Amino acid sequence: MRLRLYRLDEVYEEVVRLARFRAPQKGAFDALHKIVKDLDEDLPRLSQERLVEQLRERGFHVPNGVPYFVYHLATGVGKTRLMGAVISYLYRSGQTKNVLILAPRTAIVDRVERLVQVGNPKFLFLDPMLVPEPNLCFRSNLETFQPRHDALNVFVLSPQSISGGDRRFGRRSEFRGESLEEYLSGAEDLVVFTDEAHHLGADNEAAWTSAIHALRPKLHFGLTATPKAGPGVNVLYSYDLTQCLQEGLFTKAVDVLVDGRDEAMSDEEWDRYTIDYALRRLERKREALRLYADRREDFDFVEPVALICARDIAHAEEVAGWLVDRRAITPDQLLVTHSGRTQTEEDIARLVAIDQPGAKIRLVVNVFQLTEGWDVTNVYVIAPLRAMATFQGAVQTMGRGLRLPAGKRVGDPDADVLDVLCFGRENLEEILKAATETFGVEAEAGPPVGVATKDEKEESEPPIPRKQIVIPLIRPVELMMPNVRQVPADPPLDFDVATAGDLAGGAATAIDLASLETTGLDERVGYDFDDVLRIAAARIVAGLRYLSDVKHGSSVEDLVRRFLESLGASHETPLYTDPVKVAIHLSDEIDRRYRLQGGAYEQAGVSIVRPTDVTWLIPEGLAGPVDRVDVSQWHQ
Amino acid sequence: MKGEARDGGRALVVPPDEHLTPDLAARLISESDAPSLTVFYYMSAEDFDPSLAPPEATFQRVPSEITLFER
Repeated sequence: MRLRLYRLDEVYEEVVRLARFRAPQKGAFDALHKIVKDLDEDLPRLSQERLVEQLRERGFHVPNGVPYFVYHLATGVGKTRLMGAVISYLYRSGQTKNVLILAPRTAIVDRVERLVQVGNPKFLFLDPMLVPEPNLCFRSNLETFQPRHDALNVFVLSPQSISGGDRRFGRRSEFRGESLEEYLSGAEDLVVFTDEAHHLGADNEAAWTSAIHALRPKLHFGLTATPKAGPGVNVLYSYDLTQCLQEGLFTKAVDVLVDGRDEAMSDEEWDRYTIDYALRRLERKREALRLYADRREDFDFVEPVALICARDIAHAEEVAGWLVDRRAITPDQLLVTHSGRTQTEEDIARLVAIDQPGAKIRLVVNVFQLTEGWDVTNVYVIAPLRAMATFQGAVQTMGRGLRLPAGKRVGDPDADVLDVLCFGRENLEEILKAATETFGVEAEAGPPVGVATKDEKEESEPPIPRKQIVIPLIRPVELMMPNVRQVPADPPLDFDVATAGDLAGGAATAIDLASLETTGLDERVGYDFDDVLRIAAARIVAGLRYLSDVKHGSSVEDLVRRFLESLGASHETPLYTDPVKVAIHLSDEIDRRYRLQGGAYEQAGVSIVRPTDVTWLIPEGLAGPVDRVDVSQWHQ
Repeated sequence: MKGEARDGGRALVVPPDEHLTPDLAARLISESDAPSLTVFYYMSAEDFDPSLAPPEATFQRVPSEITLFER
């Protein structure tokens, strides 16, 4: 027994030394070490019944025979590294040789597949000395995989594939003589790890939990930033987002920036206002990262990225089109990702590599595609648009921007803070209230996220230092530019009045200017046919600036006459129709047809343009243009 | 049609079948050497805005909405 404890402590020390844990990771790792030490035997030699009995004695809840422990760690703290360290410890200390890693999304499975390969700079198992040559089973070699008894067998799959989504899992292999399902459920030492474990237990995903239980693992670990309470869920260690943001050690700080909606703006205009502000924030971030990269030899500049969350596919495409057309964003600076777009291998590679030095992407427009598994470090601005621009919407996407490119804060607010824009949906008070409710923080501890209006933020920041540069004229040229002017078209006045619609009811009212008595409210005022005609025609000409009384007056009168007659009016009986209403109605009809005609243009002379030197203000840290193309190459 | 006031100010009428365009307005102003200019017109191009005229020039559309009739 003492020898066992000695061996466990030895491995523990070795893993801790190689893992260089952050404090929360160390706390989480220590909790596991304590559990394993408290067992009276190693996992392969403990029956499931004895294991469960011993864990229950220590206060853990194991209702269904499979001990389930959850690590609750905020995004950015390093869940994946902790998982790698735990696996290394369990393998080195003789607890297991069979580990199943489940990840619910393809992007995460892909990432774990890369990380478990020896040679990856972020090798999951810390050091090949700890886990030499793991025997890897991926989706690609599911049928040909051969387990080994002298190595760690690592299975990287999705919960879907073990719960019926991949028939190969349950099919007998001619190489093994048994199915993978049979092999794993027969293993005496299987340990399962589920990444993003909050997916387990949801009603539509209960099958995943059943599939895991069917394999009868000795232990099951879940890793998540948002744990779900439930029967059998033992939270082994918790370091939540509130604590993480308050301590400010491992992730960016967060500023939620609020701006009230200008009701005069359309949805499109408001989107553009929001995105323009996101671009301005991005410029500050870029300056800060460039300055830091200039100062530090161990840090290469990475392009900061704004994540723009669109409502749906059409909205995302419209936003992307506008960025290219109106904001001169080039295609290699923009990535649009949603379920309606076929993601090429190149797109996916660009997406996961956007935080690599030299990557050019500045903007990612997505439709709820990047909620999990996209763990890049250079998202600095998040701009949820329209209905998502609420505090809760911001919290949901916040996790994608918490990681730090330098792995730590660098002391410059622009490089250490993630800006989340909440424009237009909620006011400052509503967002402050939502922030307090979400994080449940007492006033004296201070809010874990900063909340400020856009204007407050701008006033509190020093302006970006700028310098003036001159782009000199290389070769004087004269450009002949034709002057084009629009030729006013003749308005259509001879259209079929039957298509001009009907007039809503409404009788005329008259006021006697001498006595100011009103008639027509109770007893209607009757006009002569010609009076209505003349008043309406005059109002139409006066209201449409492209009509001339002299040139168009008789045509307009003719149109009014035909209209009145089409309504059944005649010269014999008085008309109770308001001539102003007739005028408004027919003015709209004329104007609508006039605008449908399109315009004609004519050339009126030529202007000669002589370009000169261009003077420009640019951020001080900007060394020069990204691309320079020689004039002789312009035609290409 | 042209007219001249006692103070030397000038008045012009753009023919009723001609649009007053920004080009035409600019030309009338630049060609006038009078201390003030009033231009009457019947119809205009859509991009013509009389409020943008310099102080010495006034553009006035000939009113058509005054209709007199006997009762």
